Amino acid sequence: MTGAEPIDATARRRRAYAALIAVWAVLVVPWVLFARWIGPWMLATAYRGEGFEFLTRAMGGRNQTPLEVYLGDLHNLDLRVLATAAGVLVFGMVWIRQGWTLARHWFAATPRENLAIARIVVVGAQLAILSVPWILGFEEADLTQTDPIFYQPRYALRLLLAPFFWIDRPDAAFLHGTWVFAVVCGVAALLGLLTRVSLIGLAWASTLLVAHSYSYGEFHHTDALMMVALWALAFSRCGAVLSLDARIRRARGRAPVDALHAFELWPLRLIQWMFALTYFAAAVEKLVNGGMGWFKGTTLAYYFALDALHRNHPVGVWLAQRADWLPPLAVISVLFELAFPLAVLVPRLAIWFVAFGISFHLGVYIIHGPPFFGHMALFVVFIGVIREDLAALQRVARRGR
Amino acid sequence: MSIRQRAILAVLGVILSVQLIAQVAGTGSALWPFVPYPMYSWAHSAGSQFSVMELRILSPGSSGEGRVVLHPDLDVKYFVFLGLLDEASRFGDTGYLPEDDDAARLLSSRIAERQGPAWNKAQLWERRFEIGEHGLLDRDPPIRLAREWSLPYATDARE
Repeated sequence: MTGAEPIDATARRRRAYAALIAVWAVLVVPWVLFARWIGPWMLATAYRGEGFEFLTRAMGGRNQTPLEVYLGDLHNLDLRVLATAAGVLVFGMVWIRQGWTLARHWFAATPRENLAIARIVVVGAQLAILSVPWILGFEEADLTQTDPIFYQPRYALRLLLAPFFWIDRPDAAFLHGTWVFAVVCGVAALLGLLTRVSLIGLAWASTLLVAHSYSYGEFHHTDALMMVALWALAFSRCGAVLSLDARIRRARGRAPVDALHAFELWPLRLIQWMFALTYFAAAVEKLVNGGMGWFKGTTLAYYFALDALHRNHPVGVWLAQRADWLPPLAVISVLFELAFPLAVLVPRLAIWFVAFGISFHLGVYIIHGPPFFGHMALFVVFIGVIREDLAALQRVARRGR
Repeated sequence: MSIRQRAILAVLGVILSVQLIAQVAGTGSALWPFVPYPMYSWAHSAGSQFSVMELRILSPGSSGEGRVVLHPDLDVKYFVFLGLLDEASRFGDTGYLPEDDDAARLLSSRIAERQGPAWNKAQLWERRFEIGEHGLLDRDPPIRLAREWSLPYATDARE
């Protein structure tokens, strides 16, 4: 290495920081102007029926709703945008500091086994969720018997039902058939048999079943990431190794695939970033909606009591009676959620976030019941850094002997 | 980067952007599985209250506490069921079924459809919990009758 290279690297990094700040300012300053001055003026004039007609039309309930409500919505949107923009700036700087490029971040050559292990864990978890309904919580109602006035099909359901254009609301036989199809595809995908086809089948059927279940007036967050993960795996090469497909290829005398490949990382990275975005969003919502009041022990005491009493979780009721203990839990939860993008950007931190994340969701389930078991399984998308850390630990242990 | 890599990046960019828009704009469940995450995000201070409601149905001449009805008994989603109970309880103990009481009317028709017309009365029982400075005040507050109404689809009501 010549002496000029580090100087070049430092200069490049400085230029990248400057470019990031410039782009950030170019985007954020106009937003602030809009959200603080132009937007409120537009809303006020539209409310009086003097401004943009589309806005006046959008304020359909303005006879009953005071202007302050619309201004409050804009204010909350402003806070969410600014908090997200702050996150983009901070984590953008970490990106530059770590020296990431798009090619290295998304398409670095990666052991094929990582993606195959992720397939096995994610599909195994989804099979468990499909086969043991109580895993997701409440005893389920027979939705095919529910009054039609509750039925409001999600866009996702309409899209997935498109091949069956004659079906408006799936009946029990169709849903049962879809469930059987999901389980058959899931077992095939777990074994890696016709992996891509079976994964597309599993992703289609699982998304359809969940979207149908969420088309009756309520939805939950527990399955959203799992559905995205199944589709990401379906379009990846996760059946190249640790699969029956690989055995069949070998038995037919075809050359084994390379151990490393550049297209094995993006599905894992996609889910890692989905984790980062959704945790960050959860933290921002707490800061925007709850403010500093969210960190008072009474907030978690309220939620623990509400859920635990409905779901009969004694630990949650016990903790709800001890509000003085809860502020540290609140602070740690929000810090974990806010900082989660570091798990993606700084590989050596990932294992700590994964360990905390699994304990966090397990704790949440034990205390007050939200069943994020899918999320716990999905932490397998950090398998690359976990395996590297475990290998490093083994090396240290060997040297110690 | 190859064209294939660029194409994959473009698709990934769209997926992550949809998630970002959903969470910043607060699109609710419209773009599911791309959803915002506002649950448990509002602050609660000492004095906050909530109720745990229970729906019971009674048949003519029964003098007991009635039968507890859960959401699977009416084939309604859990939180929809809780929402209906909460909405129905806001009318207070009217003893009858007001025209604009959509929640109680819906509960009544579900009871008739899924449990049969043999039941002539519905009752909402409530336990009210309160959060104090140091947490939940009373983990076992008394249960009280919040509302009772006659079921319009009951056999005796039709007669």
